Amino acid sequence: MRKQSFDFLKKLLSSPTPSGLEVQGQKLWCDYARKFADKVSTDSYGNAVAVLNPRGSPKIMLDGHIDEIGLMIKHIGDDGFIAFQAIGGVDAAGLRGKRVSIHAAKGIVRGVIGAVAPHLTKGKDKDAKPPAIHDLTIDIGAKDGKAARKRVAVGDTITFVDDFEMLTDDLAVARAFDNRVGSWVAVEALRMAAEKRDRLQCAIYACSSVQEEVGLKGATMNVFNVRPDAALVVEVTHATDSPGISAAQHGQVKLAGGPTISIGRENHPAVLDKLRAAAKAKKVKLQTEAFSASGGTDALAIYSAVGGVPSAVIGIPTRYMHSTVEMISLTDLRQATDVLAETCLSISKGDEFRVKV
Amino acid sequence: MRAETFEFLRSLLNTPTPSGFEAPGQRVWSDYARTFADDVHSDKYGNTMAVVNPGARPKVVLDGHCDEIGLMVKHIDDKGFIYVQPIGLVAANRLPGMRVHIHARKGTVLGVVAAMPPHMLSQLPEDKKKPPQIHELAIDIGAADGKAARTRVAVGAPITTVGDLEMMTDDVVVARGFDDRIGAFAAVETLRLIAERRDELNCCVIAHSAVQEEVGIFGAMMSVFNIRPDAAIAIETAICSDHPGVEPAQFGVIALGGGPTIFIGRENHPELVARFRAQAKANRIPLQVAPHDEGHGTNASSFYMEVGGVPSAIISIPTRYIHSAIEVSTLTDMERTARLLAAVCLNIKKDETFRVKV
Repeated sequence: MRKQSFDFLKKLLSSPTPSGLEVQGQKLWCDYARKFADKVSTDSYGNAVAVLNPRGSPKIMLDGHIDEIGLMIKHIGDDGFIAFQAIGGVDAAGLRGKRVSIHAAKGIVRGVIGAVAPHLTKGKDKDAKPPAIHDLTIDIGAKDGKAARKRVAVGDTITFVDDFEMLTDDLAVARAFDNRVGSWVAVEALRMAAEKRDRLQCAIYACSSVQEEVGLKGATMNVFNVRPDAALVVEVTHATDSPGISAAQHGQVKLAGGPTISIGRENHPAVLDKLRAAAKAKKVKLQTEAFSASGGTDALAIYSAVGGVPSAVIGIPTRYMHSTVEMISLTDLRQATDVLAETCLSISKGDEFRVKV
Repeated sequence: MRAETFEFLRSLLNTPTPSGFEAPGQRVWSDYARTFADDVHSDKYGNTMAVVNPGARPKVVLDGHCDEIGLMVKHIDDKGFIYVQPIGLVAANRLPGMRVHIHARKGTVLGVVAAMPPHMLSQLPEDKKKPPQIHELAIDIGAADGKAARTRVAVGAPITTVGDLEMMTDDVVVARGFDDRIGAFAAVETLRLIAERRDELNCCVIAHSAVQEEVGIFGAMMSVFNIRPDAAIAIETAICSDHPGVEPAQFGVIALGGGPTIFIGRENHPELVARFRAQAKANRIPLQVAPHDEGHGTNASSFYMEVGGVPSAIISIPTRYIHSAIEVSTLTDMERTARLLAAVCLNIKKDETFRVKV
């Protein structure tokens, strides 16, 4: 991977971007995009859009959401312990013993999510069950509520501290690849297309969307403002090749097995044909999944909006999603970028995506 | 029922149209509509519209969704068995022992949903006797192993159950997926009746065969933006409650063959509901009335709160056993629904608006 691209990826993954407070990540993203996009702008909620070849046609949206799941302070007790609520789909069972960063008005406050010592819980039934989120508290080392309230306030957002690390020369671990890698791929594909500008006929709108984890809200705004002719949405998808996951139930997706495409619902057949052809041209092997029956991505908000936008989801295989040890392959990431850039470059002026009736 | 109309109905119902893969059904629908509509066209995801009297106002949409529920290949194991996910709201316990068609790239592949012989079932431990969940079902296509299976089908291929249209009496008819191909059928059949009495028509009528209702009322969401109708009627299957095992106290009474059903409240605009009542009376069509559905939405939910609010209503054709391969309905109620809708449309005056009077 190109050094500048890798550095940008690392920086993006190490910046906190909980849904609703994505500004730090968006600044990095915009700074990076400005080096090669024709125009970079943001909207009222902080969605960022980088445009290449704005007079081109058709208008292709590349979307990845930059927000990550997190926590938010709900209540500060008089004993100085902090109760919190989830931002997005947080698994309470995985929270005990985690270090967190509380993004307070005056800066970051370190905290830990308390974990009662196993010596003290031995044999107690109540601790056999996973906790509910309101059973947990954050300890910031404050001696009482008054001391705690000087440093943090109700409504402060919280992220986990686990940053990016390489496990092998290809596999990487970090909190929240979901879905900062999606916004990374979107702008990186735009960069690659910019290098081959003479071949480019379509207009590319790379979007780093906010607030996906709390209900696909940023993309809902973006699609109305951008009015694309087609949309390619980059998202993490579940790699199902770690122990304990049934392929019969969840399909078979391998880490480092190549980016995925999905069939059905929002995934428009004509857009899929373009992606398949681009993958073939770049000698990238795509994995195929059935559409996500359990969850939605930004594509779900995009495809039925403004009269219908032909869309498709490109998945980055990810193990342990929504944990602090998400795992991806850099090769999958690079291949997804190659396929996306090639797809844009292969679109001719006036191309339309239609189900043939 | 007119012979050509019945042939169209049969052809539409025997065509597989799982959500997201409706094009073959839309072609059947379009071919029929072209024989009398002023304009027939489709959008990017395959929503299909047939128009009579374009340009006139109000613009009234008659909607039925062309998609049916189904399954999709999720995984093919090394033994050659196929695992599935649902397309839409599928009841897993109805599937063991069904024949299915897998719509693969090279054509239709016949499969059967594996069914445990009762001899074995009775000897299983109690926790294994529970009704299966959908991911526990396996489809057998007779493949020797995974490799052989993968040459014939692929992950992502849609699946429908086998269950073509058959007559049970001269009026009662059984098929899979009446929900909601009979809605799409009634919409275009109404348009035909209206086209025959064109000189009495003062509004624009658009018959709409929607895609992707069963996976989240998405097709209608696209069309309401593109069409910007002045009123919209969703034609659906009414869930009959006149068979054994259903409590009227819980589900009300909707009878098979008892006449088209209208609903009160929520998306059902009182002005439109009043017109259904008046025209049913004037044309001696029995009408069943029920409170609005508290749970699942219909395309009317997509229509009524979009683009600033579109006066909408649902009219439903009584159907038993919906979301199974043996849905049961009546030709009489299909025809009554089309006649009632035609009467309502022909009664609309030029530039009329539908408003709650405040």
